[in-house]
Amino acid sequence: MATYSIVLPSLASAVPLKAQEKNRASASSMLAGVFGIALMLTFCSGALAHAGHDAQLQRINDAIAQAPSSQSHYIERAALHTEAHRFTEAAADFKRADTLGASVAADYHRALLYEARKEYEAARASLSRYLKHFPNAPQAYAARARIAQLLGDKVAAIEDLRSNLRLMPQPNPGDFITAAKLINEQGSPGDALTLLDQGLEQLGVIPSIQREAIAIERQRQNIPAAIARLETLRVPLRESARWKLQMAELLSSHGDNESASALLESLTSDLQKKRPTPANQRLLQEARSLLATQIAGPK
Amino acid sequence: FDHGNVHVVSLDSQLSARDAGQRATMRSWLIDDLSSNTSDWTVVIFHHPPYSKGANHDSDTTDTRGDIDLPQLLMREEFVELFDEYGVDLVYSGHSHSYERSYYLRGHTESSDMFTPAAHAELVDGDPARPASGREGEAYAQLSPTSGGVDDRVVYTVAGNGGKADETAGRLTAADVWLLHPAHIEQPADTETPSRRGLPIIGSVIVDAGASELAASFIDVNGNVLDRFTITR
Repeated sequence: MATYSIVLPSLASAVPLKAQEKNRASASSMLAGVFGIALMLTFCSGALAHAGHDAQLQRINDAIAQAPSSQSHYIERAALHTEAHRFTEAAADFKRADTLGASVAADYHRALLYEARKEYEAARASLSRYLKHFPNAPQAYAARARIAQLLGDKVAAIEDLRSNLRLMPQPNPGDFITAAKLINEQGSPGDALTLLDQGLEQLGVIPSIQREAIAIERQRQNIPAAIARLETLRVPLRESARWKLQMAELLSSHGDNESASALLESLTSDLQKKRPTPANQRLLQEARSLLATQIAGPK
Repeated sequence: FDHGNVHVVSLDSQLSARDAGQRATMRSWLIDDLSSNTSDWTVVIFHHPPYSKGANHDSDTTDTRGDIDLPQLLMREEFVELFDEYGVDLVYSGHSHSYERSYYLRGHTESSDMFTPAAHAELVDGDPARPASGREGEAYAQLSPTSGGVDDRVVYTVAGNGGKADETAGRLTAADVWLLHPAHIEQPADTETPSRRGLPIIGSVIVDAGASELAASFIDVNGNVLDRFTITR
């Protein structure tokens, strides 16, 4: 008998700052060290989101008590206050942090405070200052892209999303899709496809990226290209019933009814052997309906 | 990944709570993955449970705090339907430091006060007053009789108690609802009277998956099996 055991972990703890503090004492520039702290804080933000805010806050308060001149501690606490929407406290900590070191070190997290307060122009300005000093910070570009979209500035958002993708060693598929959707909305489907293909090249044949590309090809009425792209998903999707139905639809729209019918017969046979989930039942219904249309022929 | 005859899917409920675009991409990916799945059993895991009355982690919370950090609500509203539609059998989550285990559910996407056994739980002999426990004599079936022989139900387990168990409701969960989510099953091993619908003790879960039966157990630090349910296929 196969046994599968799982242990579910509790929340991740925040990365201690001490290792980062050592950077500040190094021979490299102070701003480089500060960048390290700021970057570390950006990656900590997910861990700060757990409802152990009280414990996080206590830890930072203790750290500040131990090192009251540490700029990074105030930035970290300001970020935590921002998460919890304690904006007054966050602003006060940013103000204090500015007296303890270069204000640009706080600009990324300051931007998040502005964003939370819906002060989008101030958020954008803060991120622009940050990026002027730290031009290779992908998350700052991602944040500025998000702000630009909120301001309705799609051109700027696209530019920043491209920078984010350029700098991220391992972007999320969704980053490519978000950027491509915006580019397509701006009337450049070809450029959107180029970006998606870049994502496929970089990350492999990710179905969600390829599906976005297929949607654009269909929008452009380039059905042969859509078919070719869906063909690349045959193996990753294990030639699933859903894949077969979508391929049959494309083949049918391209006039290849014989191939479409063969696929539909195959998937109908597959589904009858599979568990009757609601999704499979719907697929079977759609396949039968499409097959009936195929058999009936054009009216 | 697949382990034997079990397909396991891990989702992100943390960072995706901040990004609707990433969440939509994850949904699309999940649909493709589950559509391609041919394993006997399907288990999905992610951190934030859609249903919980654990300490500080009441899944009914709607305090947006500026539209951030509602992962439990988002997973319930945007993913539970997919689990029902695409044949997921089990969902395991952590976050709440206690053990809670649901009935065999379908379609419960709203707050806990909207849960009714008649609408959402597998029933014993179709009796709306008798939601099935999954325990001896009331084993679940992958093709649910209550659903007319369709594979559309899921057992949700909260097991964030591998290293820590909360001893009180905390600050954010009301004391009078702590471990009392109506979609969760009463736990006879609870020391309270009447038994609550969760256990505030440390333990682990283990799943044994065979070709025709899956058994899931919760075991305490002394090796005692305090909860067990089976699904047959």
